[in-house]
Amino acid sequence: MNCEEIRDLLALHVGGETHENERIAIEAHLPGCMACRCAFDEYRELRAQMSEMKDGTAPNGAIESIWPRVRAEILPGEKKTGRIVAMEWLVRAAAVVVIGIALGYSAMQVTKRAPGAAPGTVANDPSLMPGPNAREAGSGGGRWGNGAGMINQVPLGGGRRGPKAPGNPYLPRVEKILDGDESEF
Amino acid sequence: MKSLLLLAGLGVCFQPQDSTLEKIEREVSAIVEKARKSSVTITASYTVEFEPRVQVTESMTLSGLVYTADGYIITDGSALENAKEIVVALPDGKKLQAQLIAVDRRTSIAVLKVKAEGLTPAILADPKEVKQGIYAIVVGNQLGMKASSSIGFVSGLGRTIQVGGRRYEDMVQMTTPVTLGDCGACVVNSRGQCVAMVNSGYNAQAADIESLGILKLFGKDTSDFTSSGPNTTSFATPGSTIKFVVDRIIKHGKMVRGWAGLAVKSIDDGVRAQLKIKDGQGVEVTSVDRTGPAAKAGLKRRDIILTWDGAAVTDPKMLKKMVIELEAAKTVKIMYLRGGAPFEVELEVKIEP
Repeated sequence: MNCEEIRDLLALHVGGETHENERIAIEAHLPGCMACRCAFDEYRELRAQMSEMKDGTAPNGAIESIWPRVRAEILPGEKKTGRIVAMEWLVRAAAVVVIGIALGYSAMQVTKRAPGAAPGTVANDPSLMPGPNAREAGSGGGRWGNGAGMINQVPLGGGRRGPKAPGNPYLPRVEKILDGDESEF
Repeated sequence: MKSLLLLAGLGVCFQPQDSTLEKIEREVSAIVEKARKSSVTITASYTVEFEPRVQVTESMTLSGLVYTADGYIITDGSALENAKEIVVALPDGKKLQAQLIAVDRRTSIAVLKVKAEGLTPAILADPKEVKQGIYAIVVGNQLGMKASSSIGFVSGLGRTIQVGGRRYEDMVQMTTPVTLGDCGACVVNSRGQCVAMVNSGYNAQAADIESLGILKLFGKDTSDFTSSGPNTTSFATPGSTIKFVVDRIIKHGKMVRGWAGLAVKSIDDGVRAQLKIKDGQGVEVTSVDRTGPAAKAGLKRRDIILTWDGAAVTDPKMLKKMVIELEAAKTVKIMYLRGGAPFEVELEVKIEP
């Protein structure tokens, strides 16, 4: 897979929604591609923030109707398989998150909006519009999904808990401790 | 006059003595001060393209150390391979554009070059002095804060870990707390000599939770915790590896090492008894790279290598050293056992692609 294909899947990957072959391809790609890793980190951070916002339960029937459409819109060319049915519990959890995100996000924006702004104009807020300067302005420009029709742009700067260290300080994490007696050469 | 001398003598005798802790404090402070002179901050910038029209520049900050007075800087290379621009901030605050000479993927060591003279290089400790229990003081950029320090001990040697899908061997294990920004930081001993360079951190708490699957139930990934949470154990690349790799890269402009395309381990006691192999002799082949020289020579998994190029093979690390130290292809004779029967074969050690 090339970088474009990988990035189309990253939003699903952070939620553990990719197929096994997609997951393998992504995990093989990320260590060698800094740009995709940066994008992955953005999605992961976004997900962490969003999971803090989720609240309440999804309306009856919403789960079944929303999630397949979300996935279909994210990956329009993908054939539907029986896996979605088999992973029903996963779909339910994902739908709760998606709906929670929408509710939480809207609530957050309402509280953040400047006095005098008309209600219901979250999507038109200039600070949320995509563009190369969005990040410089401190509002972020991360993209959630790919035309899923629910939330297109979300700020990365808002809603963060605690201070962010300057300059994205870096330290990789150990994934596994291996047998120290074996030598490869 | 005598009274004055007596009083002066008494004054000297009753001068308050420093406690052991005060002495340690002073020593550690001096060590950190010395190490800071060779510690640098590295900022790598990347262009991240979300869509054809949406590009953002991301940057990452890590640590590094001065290797030579004329501007060779070393750090961890896992974040530098696709960097668009690398800037090194010297201990005096001066910022310089750096050229990435090479990254060795086996060890993740990167060699950079800046146009500078008269820098203070880190002094590498004698590998024999790197032992379990010695002080391991890290001088890095914790959370992006320049020349921060933390202290601990070397808690293990010769560890093998997996980071970012890559395998790193012969690592130094430490109790020293390291966090984001410490990658590539110098680890110094009680003499202020560099014993290792920080590679990664391990969060045992997150690993435990992950093994129970609790985080996933709540829709969390363990990396949400480990990226900012405390690392209970840290790992660093030993000074001996740093010297070997960096000297090679400076000499050749890229990493050059011998490659046999196999993995070996010590022989299990049961196998040793069954095949009647003397203690301290031979290593067992655990895997063979299908495209490598060992496969071409016909070596297979479970073969027991007894001699390599005329020398008795005593342990995996010794054999690895013999192979990787080659700077040009070389054909060697190997004696090995397969199913208890001895064989001899010629193997052409190549330079790792």
